[in-house]
Amino acid sequence: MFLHPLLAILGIGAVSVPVIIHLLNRRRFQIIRWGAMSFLLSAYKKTRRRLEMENLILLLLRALAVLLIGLGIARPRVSDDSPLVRIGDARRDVIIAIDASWSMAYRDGSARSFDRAIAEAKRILDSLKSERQDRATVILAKQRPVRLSASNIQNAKEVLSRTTDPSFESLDLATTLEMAASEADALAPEDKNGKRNAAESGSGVTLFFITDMQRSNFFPKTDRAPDASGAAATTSNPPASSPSASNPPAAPALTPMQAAAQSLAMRKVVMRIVDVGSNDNSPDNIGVTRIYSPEEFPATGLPVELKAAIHNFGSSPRANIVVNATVDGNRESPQPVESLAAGTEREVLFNLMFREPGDHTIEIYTEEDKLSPDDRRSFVLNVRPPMKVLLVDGAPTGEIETSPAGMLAMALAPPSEPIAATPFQIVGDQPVDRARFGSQPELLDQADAVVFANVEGLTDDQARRVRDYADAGGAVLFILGNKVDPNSYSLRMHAGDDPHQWIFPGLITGTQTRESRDMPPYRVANIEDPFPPHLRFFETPERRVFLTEIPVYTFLSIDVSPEDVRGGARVLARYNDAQLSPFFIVKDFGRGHVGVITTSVDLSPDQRWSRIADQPRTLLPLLFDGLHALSAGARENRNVQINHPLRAEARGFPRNVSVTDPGAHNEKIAVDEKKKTSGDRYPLEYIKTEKPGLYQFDIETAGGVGAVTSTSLKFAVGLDASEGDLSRASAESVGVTLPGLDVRVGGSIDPEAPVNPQNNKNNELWPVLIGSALGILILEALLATWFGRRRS
Amino acid sequence: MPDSRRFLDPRVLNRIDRLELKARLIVEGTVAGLHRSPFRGVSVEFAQHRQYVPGDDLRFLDWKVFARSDRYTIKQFEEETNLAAHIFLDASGSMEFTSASGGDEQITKFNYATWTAAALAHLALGQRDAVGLVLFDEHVRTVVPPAGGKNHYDALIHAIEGAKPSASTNPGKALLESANSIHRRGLVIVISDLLCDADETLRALRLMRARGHDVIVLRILDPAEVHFEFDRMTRFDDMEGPMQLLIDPRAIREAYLKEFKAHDERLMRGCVSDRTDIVRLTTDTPLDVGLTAYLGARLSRMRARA
Repeated sequence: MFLHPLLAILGIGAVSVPVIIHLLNRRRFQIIRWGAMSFLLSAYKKTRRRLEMENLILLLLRALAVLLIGLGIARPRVSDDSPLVRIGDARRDVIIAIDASWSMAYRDGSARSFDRAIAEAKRILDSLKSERQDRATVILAKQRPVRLSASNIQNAKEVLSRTTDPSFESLDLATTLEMAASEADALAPEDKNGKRNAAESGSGVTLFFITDMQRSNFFPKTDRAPDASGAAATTSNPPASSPSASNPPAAPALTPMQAAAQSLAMRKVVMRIVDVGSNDNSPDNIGVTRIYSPEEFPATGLPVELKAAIHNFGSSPRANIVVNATVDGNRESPQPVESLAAGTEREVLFNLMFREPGDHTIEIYTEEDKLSPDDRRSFVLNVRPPMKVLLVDGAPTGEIETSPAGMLAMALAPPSEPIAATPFQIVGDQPVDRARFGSQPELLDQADAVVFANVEGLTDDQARRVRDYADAGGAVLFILGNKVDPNSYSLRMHAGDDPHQWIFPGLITGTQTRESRDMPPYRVANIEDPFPPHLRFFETPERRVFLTEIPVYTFLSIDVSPEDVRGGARVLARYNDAQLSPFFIVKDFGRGHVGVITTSVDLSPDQRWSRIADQPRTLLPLLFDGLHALSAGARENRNVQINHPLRAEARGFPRNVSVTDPGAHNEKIAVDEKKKTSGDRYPLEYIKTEKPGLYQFDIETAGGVGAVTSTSLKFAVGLDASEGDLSRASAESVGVTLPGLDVRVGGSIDPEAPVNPQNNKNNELWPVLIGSALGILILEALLATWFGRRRS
Repeated sequence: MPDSRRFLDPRVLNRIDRLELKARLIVEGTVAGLHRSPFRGVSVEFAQHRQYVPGDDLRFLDWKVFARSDRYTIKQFEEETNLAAHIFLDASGSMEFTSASGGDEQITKFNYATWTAAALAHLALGQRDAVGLVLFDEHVRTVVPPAGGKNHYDALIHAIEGAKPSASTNPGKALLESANSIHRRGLVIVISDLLCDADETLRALRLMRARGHDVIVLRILDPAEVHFEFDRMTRFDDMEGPMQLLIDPRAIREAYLKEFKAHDERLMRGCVSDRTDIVRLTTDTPLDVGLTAYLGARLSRMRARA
């Protein structure tokens, strides 16, 4: 009520001052011995009544004036429901936050929620008066809220008339509220140090939040991932279907929302939520929430599964939903979803096959409903060309069974299959021996990966070449065997002071052998958590047994020292021997990756290099997944969320890079020559991914003499699917999620209603009080003069 | 102002100690501005001749001497003591009031009254009138029977000087009390502030008139009593009683003046209808006014007799 209550008490106390002065005056008198007492007495008797009345009036006026001044100094403020607020009708500061998440595109009748929100915002602005020095700041509330205009009302109106569509972002209410708090600071008066801090002065700002009241906005998932990489980029957690809106998960620490509410409450911001959403508490909406391929490494010629998740966000079951798909612009046969219960999700499977490597665009769509942005979703599948593998055979024998590389060549590229159907190609169509590897360096340049199978060792020159190759992004896989010479490995590939430069991630210490064949063989145990992609096939328990199918009695044990770990070595899987020796080691080397598999070494008389070949169910997945994972560094993420950057690389300096967005708008991208990375690569980035759909990078690079190479990279940008859950929060539950804040919710809040009792500028009564005190003093003086004149 | 008239200023007189001296100065100051002749009186007993000076009444020119010596000579006669003046001097408490706070101007009404009385006595004795004195408050306090001569003058002065104001005023009662003791018809001079019941006073004055006296009332007031110009909170203590009244004088002034004027007018009207002379004096009035009134009354009385 009072800014300074103590002063108010003093002010009330000051009422006694005129009385005291009056009493003191009565004590200060002159004494006159008087003769004509009879006249005096009769005059006194006749005038006493009137005199007393006049004196009483004057005394009351003086006391009233003093009281008003005293109260005025105490700076009283009236509450908004007091009729007195009309007296203190002063400036009104307003922040309007308009929910611009894509759920606001929900069309109910002729208008979208967003159109109603804009109309509501204009109505609020119209109620403000610039002649009263009112101010308004407009914020578009979304994932990354934007301030549209600051303080000026006219400006705000103009901006609003240009704002016609919601964004494609979801809504981050906590961030929006934090922004509102800092805007409240900007509207606050400056303090002594020239700083604006609403928390100290009490901003007196009203925050109007115009929204469709989505429950997920008020009760956000705390585990919502900002972005996901890989094929599951557009995956989002299915929205909560439990109706317990008033029971949000209790968190011990302050959630960002609670913190934002607190920060607003500290600034004495009053929040009014204007509900422009549907009348239905759980409006119907079907959305394509997710597209992904379970295929880890889709390649040409292989069948690829593509799954699209269809979600029924409504409160009633739906039947006969037709899910359409186009792949590279060609329609696939539609897949029906016969029935979809309320609040559930169904995955629809498309079986695809690609002949051409590269980026393939896929669009999944359903019939357009009231909320259209999530009825269509795009996806880009990067189908790789066959991986070119250079096999270096350490012990060529000419026989497939005994030659390590022959075995691998059979596994990677079975001769019976047509060339396009296999994801691997052998460089030079057959394995090479060490001598040829040394004499033909161009072989390495053609390869995506090189496998050293049972290679005794490398020369200095070869080791250097392998290092350069890995550094430039190549994948190197060592599979150890009986020919391996530990000394050569440690001398050529594990020497020098810098462990980062060690191409081999460990020291081979010798063979580890079970004393007797009666003992159980060594098993692979202890796989790194999270499960490494190099062993992805073995992730499920049913397949885990395949990894340990090889009876390992003897293997080359490798010591991975702390130095190695510092150099980037990671042990992905270990044996169950006493030392827990490594089974699979990887290391990031420059842009490339190095892997080492040490497995059963056969010391039997027939001298096979390894027994791993005996178990194709172990060998094939190990080789396939291992090679793909080791060469995965070159993989680029083609599916991103709204507002996340598109990143790609150009090989060689790009002369011309342009991006085409879903609206066919074309934009050139500047490339900074100085940002060149190793291997003559230039990073490209595009950040304006504000619309969902397909984007395309067209890169022209100078290749050779006068020749121009054109490359196209495609990207898909997806919505945050959880925004499609239109179920609404109740007005009561909003207070729970925004504790401590003065919140009211209504369909249409009267913007003229006095809303802020704390407003330090508005609702101030002191000018009125001081003014009326002055008026009373003037009246008192006039009356006193008049009384005096009558007496004389 | 001529030198002799200076002493008519009460402030100047206030500096002079001795009452006889004051009285003489007042008389001389008064007489100096008047024609002398009327005061020589018309009598049978010749006193002397005197050189005519311009302004002398031609009635008293001795034509025989002029015929004889061709000189203008004025005949002077010894005046007869044919008038008895009764001075009623109010010595009540209210007479001691003065509005001045100090210095020469602090002249109480009683001061003024005593000076006037002394001067009258001086003048009257000088005219060979018999002068009596009655000092009164509620009652008659001191009575000096009328007589003439230098010794009598001393007695009068002594009586006046010995008076101290006290008790309340009631001139009516005093007049009534002393009415029976005044046998010789003459001039009754009442010197008082008359701050008392007007009707009673007028009744007593009327009685005096009825007994054949000429009555002159010299009403002496303080300017403050007339104008009532006080400007701060004041406690008025009654001089004649225990009453006290704390009041803002500005607030009451209007009503007071109304009361005062009503009383004053009643006195005036009563006196005029009884053919009583009444002169209102304030303590800042020059002192000859009182004497002139006396002389005027005496002259008219002489003429009436003649």
